[in-house]
Amino acid sequence: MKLTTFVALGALALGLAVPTMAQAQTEVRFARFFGACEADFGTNTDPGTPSNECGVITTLTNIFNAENPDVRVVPEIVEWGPYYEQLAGRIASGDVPDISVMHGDMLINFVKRDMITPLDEAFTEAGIDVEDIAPGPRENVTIDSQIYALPQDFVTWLWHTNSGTMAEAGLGEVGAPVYPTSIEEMMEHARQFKQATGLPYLALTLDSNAMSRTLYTMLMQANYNLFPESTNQIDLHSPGAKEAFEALKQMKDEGLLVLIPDWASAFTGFSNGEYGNLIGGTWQIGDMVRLSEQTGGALEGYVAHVFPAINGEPAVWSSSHSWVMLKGGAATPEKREAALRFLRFLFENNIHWARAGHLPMRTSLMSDPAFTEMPYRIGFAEIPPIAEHLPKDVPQQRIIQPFIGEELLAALQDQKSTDEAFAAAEERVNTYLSRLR
Amino acid sequence: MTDMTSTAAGMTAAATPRLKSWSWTELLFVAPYLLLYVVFLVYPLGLGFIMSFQYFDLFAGQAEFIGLENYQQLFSDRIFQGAVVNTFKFVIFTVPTFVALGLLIALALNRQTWWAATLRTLFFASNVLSVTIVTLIWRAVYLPQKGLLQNFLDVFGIQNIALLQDPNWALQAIAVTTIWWGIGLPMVLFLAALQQIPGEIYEAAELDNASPWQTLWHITIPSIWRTVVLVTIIQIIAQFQVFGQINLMTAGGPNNSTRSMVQFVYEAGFRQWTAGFASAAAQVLFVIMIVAAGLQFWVSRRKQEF
Repeated sequence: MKLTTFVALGALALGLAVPTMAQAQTEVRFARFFGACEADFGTNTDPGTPSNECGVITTLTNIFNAENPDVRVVPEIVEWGPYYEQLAGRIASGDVPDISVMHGDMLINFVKRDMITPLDEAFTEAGIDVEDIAPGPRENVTIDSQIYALPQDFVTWLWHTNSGTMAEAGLGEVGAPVYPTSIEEMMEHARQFKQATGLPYLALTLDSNAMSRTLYTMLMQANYNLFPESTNQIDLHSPGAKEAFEALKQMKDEGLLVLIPDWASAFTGFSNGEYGNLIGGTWQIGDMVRLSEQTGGALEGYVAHVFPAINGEPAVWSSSHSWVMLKGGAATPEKREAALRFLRFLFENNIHWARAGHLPMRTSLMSDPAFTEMPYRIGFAEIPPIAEHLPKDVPQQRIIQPFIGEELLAALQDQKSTDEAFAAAEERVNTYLSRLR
Repeated sequence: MTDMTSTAAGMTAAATPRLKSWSWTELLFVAPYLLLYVVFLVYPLGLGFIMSFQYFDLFAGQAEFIGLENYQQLFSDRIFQGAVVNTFKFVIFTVPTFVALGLLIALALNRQTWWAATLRTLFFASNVLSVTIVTLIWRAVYLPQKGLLQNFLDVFGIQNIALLQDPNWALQAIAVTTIWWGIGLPMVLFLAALQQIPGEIYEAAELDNASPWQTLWHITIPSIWRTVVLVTIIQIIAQFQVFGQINLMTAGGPNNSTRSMVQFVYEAGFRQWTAGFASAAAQVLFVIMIVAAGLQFWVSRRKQEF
């Protein structure tokens, strides 16, 4: 046999073998948001390197794929905003992912439509210890005594603080700022801060979700029930709700609170030391820590602190991310086994998710030094008991949240009165909820 | 009476030319396009019309006939009413500007010089950009305190301009963005039309001592009138469908001052999961567009007859 013929036959054999080898890998289609960061973490397998959601989940996927050569988890990344629209389109067309990320408050909408597989038996099968899931996140994904998702974290609302400028205004020390315990005290602190530094005390992004989460938190602190009669009817008539909002408005009118057009500008302004506190979420902590290390002193002594109890008892809005298996996905036994193996891997490596700023959902990790030794996390031990969310039976919470935020932001910017804004928010929410079947 | 009727019928028949009957060969040629047209346009249009009378759950794929309920809710919906007003305002801001500015630029650049060729390319260049790039550029222009516009206004001592956060200016700001983005197409269409006008007509006008204004009004405009109508109709249809730049620049805010009808349809259908309600809004938009474009076409034809 001539050498060329031998090489040709060898190449043909290899060509036939390669697809066979590839077919041996079970593909798990993993639908998620959190962004795409292949350029930075596409090949990274060191979980200690990333500091944000995208980096951590990309790295965890890389590690799983490296450790499980018979499975290939393929991320299908969609932007956060239109994620559920895209998921709706995929479900409608029968293109169902095997594992999908889902916010805890969205679960009810899918469960009511019988679109999610309960995971109780699957967890036993996969060896996931349900008892180790913290009560809050577990309750959040439990509907009619069945667990429909694997929680991934606690997401909550907080203040990012530049403790350097706060110390300059006599509000604590660098690294240990002092926070208000009432609305009146917040106003005092804010005026003191403005007088000493010339800067606004508080910054709020012109993001309707940020406005709603802030209002929710203040109302939860006042122990106010937003849905007193039915989960299809919101009540925003409380004088307490308006008083809490008016305090923010007064701060804005006095220049103590500044409104920032978007998150990118808010991050830039905060890292340049342009305000004392920025209202934000736990998912931003990792990026803030990184920024504080890069600012060359402008952001001195960055501190993340749970939203202060300015309107009553300690309480804070919270949500969660979770992993679900939609009906129609993971259709073969091989895919199901591979998907469950990946879920177990995410459960076991939940500590790494905390690097982005989230709280882990496993009780055993809350006191683990691997978590408590992360920056600012020791103070977060107080969060689980005070974390609250809207009643989980309230449908489409992610839709009504911007309705409220849009109207209140309009009032905060003097585009309508407070009364008009609350009335309009209530009307929009209730009209929409009444439209749902 | 019978005679009069038959006479009238005969006159109508005489006035209307007899259409040649189609053949199978001709149908074969148009069949591929016709098939795609029916499958991807006529069928969804019909489906959308039916959906507008249903409570349609896009996720669960369940539909329930509810008669005119979607339309009743729609016409009493404050946000929808605002979206209709915003869309009309946007069309009024942009369409005349597209026509007038497009014609003006075309008239200025309708010459065989290197600078005219360069400027034609520059003006058309923005047309090839995607909506994402365009909105990124213009968000940077409008950024309060640090944006290009604010830097320019600082020279004149004008401060704290935040157009996209101001309900009185946000829609106009988006209209400017849209005109910057889309002016290339009207310009090219007008240029093509201007180059079709025979030079002899202008020479004759010159011999008759016609002023530039008289030449423009009595020769140029009538000669390109069909293109003016075409550009107007294209822009009416396009601007009634404004969505991408609004969604990316203001998301309908501030205070619902920029929410357009298409954005309303998108939000109701895909974000809020009320596809039947969204379909009703889409039908209303469809009717408005047909009426607006038809009206414009009718007015243009009447003017041409003069």
